[in-house]
This record gives sequence, structure tokens and C-alpha cells, in this order.
Amino acid sequence: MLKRRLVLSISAAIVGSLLVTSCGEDSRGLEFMPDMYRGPAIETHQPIGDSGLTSVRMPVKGTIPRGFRAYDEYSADQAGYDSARVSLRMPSDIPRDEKSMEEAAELYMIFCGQCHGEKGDGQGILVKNGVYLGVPNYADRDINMGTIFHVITYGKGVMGSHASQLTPDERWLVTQHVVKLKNAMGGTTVIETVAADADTSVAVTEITN
Amino acid sequence: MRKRLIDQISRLSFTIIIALTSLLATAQGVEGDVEHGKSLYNANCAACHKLDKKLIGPALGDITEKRETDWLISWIRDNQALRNSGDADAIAVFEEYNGSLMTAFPQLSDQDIMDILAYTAYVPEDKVVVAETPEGPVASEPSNTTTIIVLGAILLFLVIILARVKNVLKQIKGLETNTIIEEANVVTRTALKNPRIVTFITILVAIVLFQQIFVALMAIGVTQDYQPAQPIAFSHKLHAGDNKIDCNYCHYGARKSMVSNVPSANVCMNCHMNIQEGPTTGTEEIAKIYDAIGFNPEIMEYIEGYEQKPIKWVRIHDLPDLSYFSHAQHVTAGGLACQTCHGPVEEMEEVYQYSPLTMEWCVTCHRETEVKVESNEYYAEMHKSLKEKYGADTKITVEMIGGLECGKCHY
Repeated sequence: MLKRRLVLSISAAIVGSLLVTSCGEDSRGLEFMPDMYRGPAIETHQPIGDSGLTSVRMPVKGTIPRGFRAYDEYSADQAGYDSARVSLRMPSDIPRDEKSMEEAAELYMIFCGQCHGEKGDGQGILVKNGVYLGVPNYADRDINMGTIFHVITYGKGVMGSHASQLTPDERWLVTQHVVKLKNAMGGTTVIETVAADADTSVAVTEITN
Repeated sequence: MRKRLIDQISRLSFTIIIALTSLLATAQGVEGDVEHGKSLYNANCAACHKLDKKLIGPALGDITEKRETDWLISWIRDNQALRNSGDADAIAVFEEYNGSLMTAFPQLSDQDIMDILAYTAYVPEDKVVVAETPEGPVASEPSNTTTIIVLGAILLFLVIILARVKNVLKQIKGLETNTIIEEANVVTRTALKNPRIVTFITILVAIVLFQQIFVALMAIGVTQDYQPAQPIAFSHKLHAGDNKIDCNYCHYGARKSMVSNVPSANVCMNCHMNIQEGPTTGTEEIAKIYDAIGFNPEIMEYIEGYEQKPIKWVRIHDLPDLSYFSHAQHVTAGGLACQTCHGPVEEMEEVYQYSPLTMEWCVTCHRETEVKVESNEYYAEMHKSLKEKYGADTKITVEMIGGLECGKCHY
């Protein structure tokens, strides 16, 4: 009688310890009441059932997210670049105070600094590590606010578009910071150009010079 | 042993040959300082040109054989002026590359350009790549289980030896001998007849059993250390560690939304349009990005009308739906570093779940984390009243501003 109880306890202990060790690194382990964990709502970046679709979709063509400015006056090619140089102006409601410029410097170091360098001299860490070559020094390039904004939006050469990572307003902040860096290095000074009136829906396109 | 020595000698001689040729070789046809040319090339040309294949502009490896040196100098200095002068070749090149404009380089002297051309034409004569293979067996650390198994085997071996010694002694004395199994049977039977021993064993087994069951139950729904295999062998150590790319560059949603997004393939392409070969996996893993987005690295163009496929990353950090968590609140308002919850991601080859993500873990952090009240004017009045309530010297924690209320996370 006693013996049987002992055998039972030992086997229970073995099963118990198996429960603990069976969760490997590649499994999520046990779940209690999964219906509380996973609601029917579709989560961000998740596949939708077995449909082969994911919750990440391209926006409907022609839609503009709330708080965004349309940027469709200028095309993604050389012609758009050239006309941005001549006519693109920063909307006047973009903040230009010191605190915003600190934020701009922060954004620059997140999205640009690793290639273009903290000073804008093209000596970012990726260039220093020899991973990414040929990043120009802002001082050597003939750029103005219009072209800077255009290049952040559409990319140029091997630089890709950063429009999905930065909102238009953030792009204008970064543009101001790039101008600041370029002017700090001397050479030709870029004069900051701001549109006369604030148009929140469309980046102003009229020529003001 | 001898083979290895010969190997080493041959490898050494290869290295010497390569070093010598790079010292002696002069660029074919063009006179110039190759080293100086290389640094100028990397700074000014490499953004759009590769030596061996087309990037934004044409491959430059054999450009000195295709074009006259004088023509190249005037093209590089100011290609627009050359085109305006009516040079047929210049206009043809411009049109071949769909009118993408090459930057003018008025700052380069004739000698600078000659140096660059010398670098493009320079071919090391013995272009032997010595594959670096790590020598000797890779020492793998024995895991705990193997140690235990080895120790157990040694113990068993000792027991058998002792039993044999005992049997030999018995034989000498002329007594009856027993096998180990018979001996063990005798011992177990005697022990099981003793109620004290039985009680002791039962209690011991019960304690271990309940402890194990408790641990197992507590681990339900906790996915700490979860490290699934991902569709692309992406190394956070290489990207965020060695190359110090900011976490927010790819996970740009963390600053401003509830979810810290997994980057879409176009973000990968911001760098990998240019970087087509990685240091550890070569072109194999990067090709998976091209396959997903539809990019042909040979001609540097996106494939027209390509049906793009999602990269099916496996989600690691997954809070149950019954709790709400916002990244923006923690990253932007709270000013927390990503590593506070995600651990040293910049050292992880493959990401695993660092924190348990249990409610106890959240609550502990909310009890201990101090809120930065000084620089936040918006809530100045509230912070003042908090100071009055809890005393001026007390640090204001997340708990004090309501970070432990049920409805903050569960609603």
C-alpha cells in the first residue's frame, strides 16, 4: 500500500518537472484562457487569420493622413528637384524656436546622423566604419531648403525616401537643422526661406523671391 | 601537423605577394596616386558609382579604357558645361541614364581627377582572396545537463566497482556472493518496512512536487526568453550595436504611436539598395529583402509590376489583449530608453524577450520609477500639489500620479 503511494508520488513529480522544462526557447509555452489574450480585433502588424493578408496595408491612393500636408506638386525626378529648388518654401507655421530646434537636432541624429555625420560633413559612423561610402559633405553641395525637403521626401541617388519615417512637419524641422549645419561649415550660406502665409494643407508653392 | 605548417607557410607567402604587388603595381595607362585617388573616390564618387557594377551611374572599373582622359576630366569637373558645349558623347551618356544629373566637382584639380582615374583603373595583379577560416576545434561549453549526466555515470561506475570489491572480499572469506540488483532489492525492502523512512521520503517528494507545480503554474502565459527563428537572419548586434543605428530609425513608430512598428522593406532599402553584401551572411539574407520588395540588384532597379510579399517576422513581445500599453507614453513622455524593457538588444544577434512582461514587473517599475517633474511646466500645478501631499523631499513616482490605477491599463 505504502509502496504504491510512493510510486504514484514519484511519477507525479516527474510529470510536474516535465511541465516546467518542456517550454523551449522556440515555443511560447502554456497559455491560460487564450480567448482573454487574443481578442477578435486585428492587431497591428499581424497576419489576418490564414487569409495570407496582414494588417499592414498601403494607404488608399490619394488619401492624406490627418495632420499631414500633401506634397504632390513636385515630382520625384530631376524636374521636381529643380522646381523645388526654385519655388518650394517652408510653411510659416512650422516652429522655429529653440526648443523645436533641439528636437530637430534629435531627429537629425536619429534619421540622418549615422551617414551624414553629426556636423553634416558626411562622416557618420557608417561612413567611418566603411559600410556606406560616398556620403557628401553639405558644404560641397549647392542645396537650399526646397531641395533639402525634396531629397528627404523622395531620396536622391542611393539615398532612399524618408517620407514613411518622418512626417512633413518633422521633415521641415530636419531641413532647418541641415541648413544650420551647412551654414556653420561656411562656404555659400543658405538663406532660410519661409512662405508668407501659413497654408496647413498644401506646402506653399508660389515663388516669393 | 606538418600539413598545417605547410598551409600556414603558403598562406603567408600569398599575403606577402599581395602586399608586394599592391606596392609595386602602377595603374595601367593612367599615372596617379592610387591611395589618394581611393580616398577621393570614396568621398565623392562612391555614392553613385561602383567599380564592378552599375549603381546610380555606370560602373567605373574600366572607364579609362572606354574614354579619353581629357574627356573624363572635363566631364567630371562640370558635365553640364560639357553637354552644353554640344559634345555628342556627353549627351548620349546623359540620356542613357534617364537624365539623372551628376554633380559637378569644380573643387577637384586635374591631379585629383587623375588620381581618381588611377584608382578606378588599378587592379591588384594577384587578386587572391585568402579565406580566413578559424583554426582548431571550437571549444563548446559543456551544458549543465551534460555535467550532471557525466557525474551520474561516474557515481554509478564507483558503485559497481565497490560492489565488485565487496564480492571479491566475500569470496576470499568463502561467503555467498550477491549481484548488485539483489543487494539493491534487499536494501529497498528493509527501508520500505521502516515507517519513518517512508514518511520522510513521502514528505520530501511532496515538497519537491508542489514546488515544481507552483513554478510551472507561474510560468503559464509568461514568455520570457522566447526566441523564435525569424525569416531573415537580421542581426541587431550588427545594426544597432556595431553601426550604432538609432532604434528609432527603423522603429520610428515608437516615438509617436502605441505600437513600435516593425519596419517595412522600404526602410531596409534606404541602406540596402547600396549595401548588397553583409559581413556575416553575404548576399543570402539581403536577397530576401529584394525578393520581398521586388528589386533587381544587378541592374539596380525596382521590378515593374512586381507582386510584393510581406516579410513574415515572428512577433516576440506580445501583451495579452486585456492590457493596454503605449510606446509613445513610455518613450516620448516618460523618456525611457528602449533597453529598460527590451534589454541589451544592441548585443543580441537574435532577439529574445528580455523582460517577463508580467503585471508584477510593470507594477514594480511603476512603484520605483521617478517622474521628471522639474522640466515639465504643463503639469507644474499638479506637481506642486503632489509635493505638498507627499512632502518636498519625496521623489514623485509613477504610482503617485496614478500609474497603478486599474483603468490605466485595463479597460
